[in-house]
Amino acid sequence: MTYEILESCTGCGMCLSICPVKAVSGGPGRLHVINSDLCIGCGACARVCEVSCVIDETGNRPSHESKKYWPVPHFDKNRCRHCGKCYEMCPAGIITRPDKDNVPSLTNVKLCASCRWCGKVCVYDAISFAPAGESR
Amino acid sequence: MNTAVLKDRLDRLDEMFSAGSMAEHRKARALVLDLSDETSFDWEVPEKYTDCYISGPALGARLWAEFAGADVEESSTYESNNPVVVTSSYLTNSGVPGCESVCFTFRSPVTGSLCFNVVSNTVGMRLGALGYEAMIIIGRLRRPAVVDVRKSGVLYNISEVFIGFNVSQVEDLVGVGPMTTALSIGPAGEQKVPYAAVICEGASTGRGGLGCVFGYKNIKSLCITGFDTGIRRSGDEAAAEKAVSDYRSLLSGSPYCKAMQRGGSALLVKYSSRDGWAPVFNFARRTDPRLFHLGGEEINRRYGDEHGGCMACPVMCRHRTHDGIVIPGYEAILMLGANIACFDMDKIIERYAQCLDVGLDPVSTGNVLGWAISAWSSGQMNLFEPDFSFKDNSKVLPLIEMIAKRVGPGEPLSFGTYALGKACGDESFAYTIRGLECGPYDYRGAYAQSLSDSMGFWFPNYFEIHSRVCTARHEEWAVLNERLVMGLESYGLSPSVIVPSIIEASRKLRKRIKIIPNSEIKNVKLDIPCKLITAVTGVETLSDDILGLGDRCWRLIYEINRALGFNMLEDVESRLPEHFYIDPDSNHEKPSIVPFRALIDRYCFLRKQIIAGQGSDLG
Repeated sequence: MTYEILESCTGCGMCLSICPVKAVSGGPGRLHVINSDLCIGCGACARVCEVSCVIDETGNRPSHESKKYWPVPHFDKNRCRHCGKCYEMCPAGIITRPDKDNVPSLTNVKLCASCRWCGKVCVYDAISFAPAGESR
Repeated sequence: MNTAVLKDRLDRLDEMFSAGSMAEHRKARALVLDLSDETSFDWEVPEKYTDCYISGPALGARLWAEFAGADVEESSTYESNNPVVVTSSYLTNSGVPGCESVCFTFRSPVTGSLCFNVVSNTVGMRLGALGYEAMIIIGRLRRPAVVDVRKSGVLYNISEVFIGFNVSQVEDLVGVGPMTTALSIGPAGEQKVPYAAVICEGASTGRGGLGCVFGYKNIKSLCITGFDTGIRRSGDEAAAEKAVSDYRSLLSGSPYCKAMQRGGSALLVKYSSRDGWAPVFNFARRTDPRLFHLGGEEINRRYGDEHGGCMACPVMCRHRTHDGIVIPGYEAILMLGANIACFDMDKIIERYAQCLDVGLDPVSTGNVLGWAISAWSSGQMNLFEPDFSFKDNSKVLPLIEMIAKRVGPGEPLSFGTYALGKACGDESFAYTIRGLECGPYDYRGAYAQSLSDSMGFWFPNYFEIHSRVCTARHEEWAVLNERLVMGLESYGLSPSVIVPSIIEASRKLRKRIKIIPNSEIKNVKLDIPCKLITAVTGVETLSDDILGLGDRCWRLIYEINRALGFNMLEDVESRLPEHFYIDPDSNHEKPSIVPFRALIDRYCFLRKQIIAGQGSDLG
């Protein structure tokens, strides 16, 4: 799933700042563009856009959603086996490397794009998603 | 034999198999990279192929035959007539533990027969994100290039500047990371060393000389950029989630998985010494007390239990040192350690890293170095300085690099054990099967393994090597292992996870399993994978489907190999090095002489029975 920015873009730069893989380009006040090669389809740009000018492949226009409701990963210390796959695969690079005593954590929860990739690569089902401050 | 004859045979085979294939007609798309004119195009895989062969090695073999060049038998092993087919697993992106495997099918430049390597990495997942289930590489580039596959298309970036670069340097330059996976070769592949490997995500993608084929095709690195965060399942979502969750709990409670996590696959080093299949001093001995220092427990004690693993594999058997350096698996430990008289784990880790960095297959390299020790000590070869020591890494590491670059004493060694044995006029300690260096198994202690290896299948016999269930009727266990491994891999499940769990689930039947004849193989419980596949795909899958797919895969490879001039069921005796079945000189208590001829007769009888059950001989 890749996303596209419509011409109604105001060039506010919100999508550019949230994109974890820097797939969005464009200057202030100008139409922004998404590089489909880099886009990971997390939809963060669409959710952060206040004028809902980002559409997905099927033409849907996801509505704006406040960041405090975005689901972020929560790491279950009982299930985590410290393999480090989530740390290796996080496109935003905000997951800390787990060690024998510590489960991974987010270095900066505000940078999490809620792509859920970490949840997908975790084979132990040790990652659940809920808004920051909440737990499953 | 020309391609028309082969295609006619395979068409008849497709017709025969279509009756027993899956009911669902599945559409699949393949990306074809035509290197000769630096183009690419999408190709719809015919439904009859996906119905009969599903995915993985079975589909890979069928697609290889589809794209093979005009005159299969006489064509060059390396270039345009040898496509490389990359097939992802049927269950890719489904979230099933151990499902993210990818299969590379090609004609081995070493053996001349069809070779398939199944490995777990993110290649299949990335291809899936781009909308493909397979990638077929045909032709040959005019100049070395980095091939960049991404959503917007395929780019061929001329990379002559990369020539001579090691794998780590190439990976840094092409930007490997969470977004991109690269299949790269080192100097060994460029120099067409027959046992060169393609390296991906810090591991070799298998044996058979894929790195050499990449070298001939002038592919320095094949980068795939794709990312899919979604989970794709066709079956009922709730049922699939429950099946996956049940499977995860089964694995987390599995003693096998726990043991593997604790000790890594190096745990098998202990078994190898106990059961007498460890290669020690170039297969002269079968056990050694010093192997204790290379075992899983010792690794755990020395390096801690930091472990990781292949993509989506819950076993997580790949240990790391405190510095994050990957500790090799049991195969590389045995071949780069015990086989060349080195029992120091630190040195083996360095050798393994060096092999991967220069793009050499660690197992074959260990075998070649083992030959060099024997040849040097017997005076047949005089390549090294008098003070050369195979225990000294300051000598061995440069030697490995010289092999990859084909310079100095590495130049003759780069031709492989088979050619070296011929050149010296004494093949008595050149341990190869059809030219490919033997794996880390002394066949005097691994009878069933010897059968599959002599057929050209290089996967371990899980019943013999991993679990010791196979203690008699080795030919039946060899057949069962092949059927299971090929069936599961063609469905996209990792046999290294599934087979031990099948064995564990069948513990109650264990006494019966020891003596079951071939006709009762169905007693081996395949409920676990069947339930999983049915729930995730929505297509009812039974044990017979998995074993049947394994048989179809075997038959397909058999027919293709016949077309390539290699009849797997004929003249088998000449393939296994004589040492293993005539030399009783060994330091292990178990009987040393493999009853190889009798085993082969019974194995071939079983295989011919299965072929007869599938339909008539195709002539």
